[in-house]
Amino acid sequence: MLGRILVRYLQPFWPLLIGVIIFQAGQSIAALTLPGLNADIIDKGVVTGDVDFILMNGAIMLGLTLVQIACSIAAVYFGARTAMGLGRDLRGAIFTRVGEFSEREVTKFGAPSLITRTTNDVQQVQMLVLMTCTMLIATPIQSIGGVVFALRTDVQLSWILVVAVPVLLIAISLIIVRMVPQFRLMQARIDTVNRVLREQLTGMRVVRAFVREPVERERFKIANDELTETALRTGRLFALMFPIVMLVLNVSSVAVLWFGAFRVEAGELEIGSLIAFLSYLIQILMAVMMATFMAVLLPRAAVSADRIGEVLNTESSVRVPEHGVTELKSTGQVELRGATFTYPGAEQPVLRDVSFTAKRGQTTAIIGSTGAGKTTLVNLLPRLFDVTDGAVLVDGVDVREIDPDILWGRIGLVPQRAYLFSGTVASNLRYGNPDATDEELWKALEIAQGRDFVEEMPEQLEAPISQGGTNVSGGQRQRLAIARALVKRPEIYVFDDSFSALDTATDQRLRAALGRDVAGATMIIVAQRVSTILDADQIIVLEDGAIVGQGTHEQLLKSSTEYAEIVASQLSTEEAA
Amino acid sequence: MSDAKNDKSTTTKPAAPERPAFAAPARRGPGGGGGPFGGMGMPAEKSMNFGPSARRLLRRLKPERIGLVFVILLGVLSVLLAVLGPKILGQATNIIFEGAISGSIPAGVTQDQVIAQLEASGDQQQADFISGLNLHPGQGIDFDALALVLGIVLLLYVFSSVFSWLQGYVLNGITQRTVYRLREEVEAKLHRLPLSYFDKMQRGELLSRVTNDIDNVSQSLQQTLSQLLISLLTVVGVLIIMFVISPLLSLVAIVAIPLTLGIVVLIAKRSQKLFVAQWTHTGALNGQIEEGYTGHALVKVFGRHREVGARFAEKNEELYRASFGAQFISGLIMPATMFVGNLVYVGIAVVGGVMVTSGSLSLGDVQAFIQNSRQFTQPRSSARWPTCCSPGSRAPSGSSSFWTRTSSPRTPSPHSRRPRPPGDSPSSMSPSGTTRRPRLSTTCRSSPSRARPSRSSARLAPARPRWSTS
Repeated sequence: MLGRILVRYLQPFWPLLIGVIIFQAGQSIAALTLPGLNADIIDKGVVTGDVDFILMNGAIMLGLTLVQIACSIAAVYFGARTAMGLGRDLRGAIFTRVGEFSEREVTKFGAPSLITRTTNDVQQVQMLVLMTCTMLIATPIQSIGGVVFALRTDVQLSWILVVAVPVLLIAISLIIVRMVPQFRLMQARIDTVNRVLREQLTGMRVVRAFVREPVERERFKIANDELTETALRTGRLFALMFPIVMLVLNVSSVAVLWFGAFRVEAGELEIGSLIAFLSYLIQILMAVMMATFMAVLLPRAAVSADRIGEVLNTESSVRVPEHGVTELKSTGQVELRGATFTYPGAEQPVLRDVSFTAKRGQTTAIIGSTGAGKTTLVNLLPRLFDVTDGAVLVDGVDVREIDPDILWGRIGLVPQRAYLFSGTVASNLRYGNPDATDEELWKALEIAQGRDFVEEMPEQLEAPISQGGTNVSGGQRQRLAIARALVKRPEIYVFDDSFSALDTATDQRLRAALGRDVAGATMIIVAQRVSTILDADQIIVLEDGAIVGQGTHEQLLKSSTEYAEIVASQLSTEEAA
Repeated sequence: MSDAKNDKSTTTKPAAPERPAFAAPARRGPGGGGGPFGGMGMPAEKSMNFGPSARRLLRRLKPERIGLVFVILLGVLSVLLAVLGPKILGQATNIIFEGAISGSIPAGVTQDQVIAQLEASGDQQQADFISGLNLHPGQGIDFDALALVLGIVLLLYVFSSVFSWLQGYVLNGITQRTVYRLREEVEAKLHRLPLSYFDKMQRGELLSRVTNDIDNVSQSLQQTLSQLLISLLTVVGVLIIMFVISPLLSLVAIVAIPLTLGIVVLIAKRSQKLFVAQWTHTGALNGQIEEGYTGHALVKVFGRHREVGARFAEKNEELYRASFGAQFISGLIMPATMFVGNLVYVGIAVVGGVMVTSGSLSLGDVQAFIQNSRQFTQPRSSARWPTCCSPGSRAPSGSSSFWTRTSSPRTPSPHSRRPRPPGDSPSSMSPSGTTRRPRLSTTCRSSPSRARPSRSSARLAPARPRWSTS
């Protein structure tokens, strides 16, 4: 997956990548030429006492150094461009893809997981590309170049390379191979420590109340012990790394001098070249070491790439029609015809053969126990899910054939968990209708019973709202969410259990206001409290995804035992009658 | 799919790059600057925190005194041997060199005769050069002497590596034990804190401090202690040996120190701003992503997907520009230090070469010099200085935000933390609580080396791999 993602998303950057390769090659070659020139200084300048030659060669070396830094800067420039550009494009691709997702896919991944994939996982891949461009690409060039230069200097001595490089590779690999599982274990144990701590923090009250401290502390001690044990082992392996690298490097240097001495004695190698050879050797070994270290980055990035690929390869189950219906008779009528919904792979459908019609000016209430499929049902309307069988019709047209913008424009949704966006009260209220006047906002707030508390805020409509709406209370958040739907002035209102956060009195006032002000709209209300839906024109009783009762409160009391049970459990007989 | 679980852990404890969004709780801002370490949002205040935090860190290490002495001793030994190595290796080069020259002079002629002959022919320079050597005309390379010297070097290097390993081994134990105790104490403290404290603090932040910050302390303990120590020792050792070999040539090499530092500081200064920008934009973008995903259904049904998409694209582009700048500038540190290293290399090659021709220095010494100078222009030592010593470095910052925790009184003063309004905030599982007001965090502003390769693997490794270049 990493490969496929890289090939696909690096495509626009190929000119930059070629630039990176060229400049890294230039940089490496410049660096490799320096020892040779130094050898010349010794062999031709020092030995013959030719100071002019030394100075001239020095000038050339200086020039090469400048070339090298220039190439390096260019390579880093192009590398950073490529890597950051790739990150941007990947984030964009994921965000667009998630935007297309239906609630089914979002639920499958989970919003937090999608967030991590868009941020952290992209970051990992991006980092790998950056490191590759700025360092890793140079290492094979340096190694191969180093070998070429070394061979040119002296073929016979090169057997030292044949020994030293594999020894270094094997030594580092042995350590890394042992380290990787330890890292993984360590990560798992860090997570364990975190989990224990998190549980302690969340449950501190319970821990204290039940005097569980000794147990908890023992649990933490075990986790801490285990983590420390792994950390110790990993650290010990790591402590080996640098000394071993240095040892291989130094022993090879000694070997070069010893065996080189024989070549010099035989008159087959000049002393300057011997020193140059030494430099090449060190450069090659350093490059090998670097490449091995970098290899550690790869598995991490690969895992991240897989996670990104999963998102990118998931098709939305809700297809946007190519030529959606844009002209609708606006009857505000909602009709479900044998609507069935099954999660992929699930045995039981969440909704089974649900049929009913909700008419304009009427209130349709849906009641049922938790998990009966109420939320899934109302989410079929704005196509947050699509039915797996049957059909949902709005204004007489199958929702799957309506242009999404037209469809969404007709529906005002107040979700179960009121979610506000960061900004102000006004920016949230205007979310579905950016052109709404302040007056309209206040009007909507009034209906939603939110006028009072907004008026009490010092900035009123301009009061800041934090992300998710965490800086207002649950009830306030709910009322703002209701007002937000009202400001949109849709034809169809969907209240998904939106009144449960309100106290009964507010609930009643709100429903009364709604009845007055949005009388012409189609209302679909999901409710837990029977008192909320007493006056509904039509009540649908849902159980295990199927309709078990349908009618008005009075009718249902007589005809539906399920409904009667719900009512009995909530209302005193007096109220119910 | 097992992501649900994984993600939980990753979001709470995001990888290093994501960390700032997290470690920057809004309430630690200047507004809530209570407590001795409050108001850590500002770099200026930050530097003041360094001293006390470092002292506290040292106090933590007290039980490990003996081990620490051992670490220092081993460090000194290892560095001493590593620094001496090139000088002795240079001797070997000299033996080879002199042997080669000796071999080219016919036997029976003495070194003095050669010099006299050269002086007579007016080649004073060559005469000086020869007089600086220890020749045995006609004999060629003295392999016995060479074997002896190389044998000594070999031993030196082996011991240097062994000491260096032992040092790492002991230090690792010290670090892990210290961190173990730290975690233990924090956990114990949690059970002593009043319940009201947990109500006031956001869980995510508390958790992040207890876990991320301790993690930081652990990593930096190991890195700072070993690298700072090794770097300092190496620099001192190299300087001494350089002056012993040749004071004149030392001047050439010493130029590298201010030059490297200057370049690093210059880059660090520029990149600091860019990094701040990068993190600010990261925060802004993460906020967008979070809102877009968490409010997914609303965005759709309220017909805002286009606006949301456009705003995301805009922020994404801004982040791209900011992060490109930051990564580019900070990516220059390594080439720049290499550049300085190469400049010094060229300088030594030329000046040293001229000195050898005049007989005032041996070839082996020049070679030793080049190797020694590499030892301290290696990024491993020099580029790390600012990282280790700058006030923004991780250990102290991690620890000081952490001390706020451990040293908080049983009843924290009411105004020390801006109380959060009640509500089910999602921030315990997501960085949202903080990204919404991106604030410079304790970790984000530190030195540019954070963006360097080691960094991405930092979480993987107990200590950063030490890079070196030849």
